[in-house]
Amino acid sequence: MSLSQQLEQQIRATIGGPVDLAARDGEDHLVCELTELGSLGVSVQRLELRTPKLANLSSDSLRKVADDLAGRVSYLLEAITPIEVDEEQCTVQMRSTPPYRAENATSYYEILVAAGAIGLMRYKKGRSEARHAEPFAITREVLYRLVNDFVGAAKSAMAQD
Amino acid sequence: MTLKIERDQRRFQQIVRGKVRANLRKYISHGEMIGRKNKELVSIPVPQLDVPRFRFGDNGNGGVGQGEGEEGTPVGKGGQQRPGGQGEAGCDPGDGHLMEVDMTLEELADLLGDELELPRIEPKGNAQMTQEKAKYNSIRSTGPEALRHKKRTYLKALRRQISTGVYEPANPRVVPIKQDQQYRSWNTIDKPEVNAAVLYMMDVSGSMTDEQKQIVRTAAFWIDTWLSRQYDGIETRYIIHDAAAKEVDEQTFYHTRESGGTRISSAYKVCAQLFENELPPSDWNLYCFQFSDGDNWGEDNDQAFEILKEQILPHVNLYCYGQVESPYGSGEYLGHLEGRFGDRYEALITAELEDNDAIYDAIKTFLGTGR
Repeated sequence: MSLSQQLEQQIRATIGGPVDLAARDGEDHLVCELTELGSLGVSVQRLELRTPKLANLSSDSLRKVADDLAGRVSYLLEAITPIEVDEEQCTVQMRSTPPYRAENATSYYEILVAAGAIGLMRYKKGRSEARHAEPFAITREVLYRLVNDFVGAAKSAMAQD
Repeated sequence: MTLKIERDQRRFQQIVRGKVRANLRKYISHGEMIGRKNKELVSIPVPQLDVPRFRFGDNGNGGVGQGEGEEGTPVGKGGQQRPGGQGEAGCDPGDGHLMEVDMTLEELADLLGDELELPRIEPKGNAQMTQEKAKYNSIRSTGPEALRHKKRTYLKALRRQISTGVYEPANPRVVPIKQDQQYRSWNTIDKPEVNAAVLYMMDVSGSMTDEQKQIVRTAAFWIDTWLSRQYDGIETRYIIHDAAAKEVDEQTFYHTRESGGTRISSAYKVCAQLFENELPPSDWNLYCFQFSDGDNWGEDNDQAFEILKEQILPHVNLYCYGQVESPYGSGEYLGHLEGRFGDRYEALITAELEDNDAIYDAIKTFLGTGR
């Protein structure tokens, strides 16, 4: 059973929240932290896929994975594109482009594509305060699609090799 | 006695300075004159200075006591209706004309100093280095024609003509010969000099956009203008960094965009190396200005603070950190920096630049210490 199907099963069996869900498919491991579960949607604190498909990749290869992921994930509130590539840590930072700017705060998605994992969170930063993680609401279908796209992007790394 | 034209010119310059002073915040915020900088002069667009003049009314086109009408009839505006009717666009020029006025960078610096109430800088140490300078303070009998001293040459010729009896007071012609020629000459003297170097460091990582770089450029222009006024010769160096840092020229500094991550410690390392190899702190008044959006990759902060504390802060007159707000909001480096060092170092000054309008206050904060 795929990761998204396992997640779907777990969410159906869960009422309320917050809850941390995990699923495993072979060597791929999914972690999904939800702060709320509704009949239609969920509130996501963190979504992370850990996979050996991304381990030991160079920063150039990770950049290609990030580009692939940017092409796939086009259905959230803002488009997400690679912003910075840290060669030392082998990590690509992707963020909402442009971020959402309210009167006194800025919110944006941040995806870190690292050697071995892809993680998604949303942050909010107000004036004169440090940024903090902010749960974001999406429908269940969008969540499953996100999981499939993370897996698809990780597979694209193998296709590059 | 001063000529009227000189008086008028002085008066004109006072008016221009007044206009520039009145709009200085706008110029500082929007960098209007940066692209206009020549070597010595800056062209500043100031609103047109109108010369007052009389405007004639509608005399002779009717008025009180003329024409038909009865007692009690309201007096309307005389004259014929103008062609074009009401509500049409005028054909006269509007008020929005600008004229450009040249000011020297020194004048501009003085204006900045007056407006921001900046204290004069007291250099660290006194004249520790000397520089050889040529001073034209002697006379020789040989030299290039360009340096010929005409007055002395004619004086010598006159003396010769008198002593040899050739000079005729009734016909006072003085004709120099080759032996009469006198030329200006120089002596080399050692002049004590106070040296100053400015180091600009900028984060050019992927999260710094062109808008932020423009803010840095504008701020750097005014800092340069002020510091150049305070020191005779000033050395300027530029360092850019993302995850790695390097020294670059001015053009590269303002026009490079990298996609790497942000590691501020890399810039500090290059800065410390420059101190060690080229700008020894014992000989130089050192000014560092660092600009970043503050989105440093987390674990780099400790390393950066260590280099800053050990190798930079003890040696500089001023270390200014300007945090420029990126589209993702201002980063967290500023908070960590203040948390780590607090008020312990007088040389460390920080400012947050949310947008162009914040440049004015940031410059005042940076340069207001008089260090």
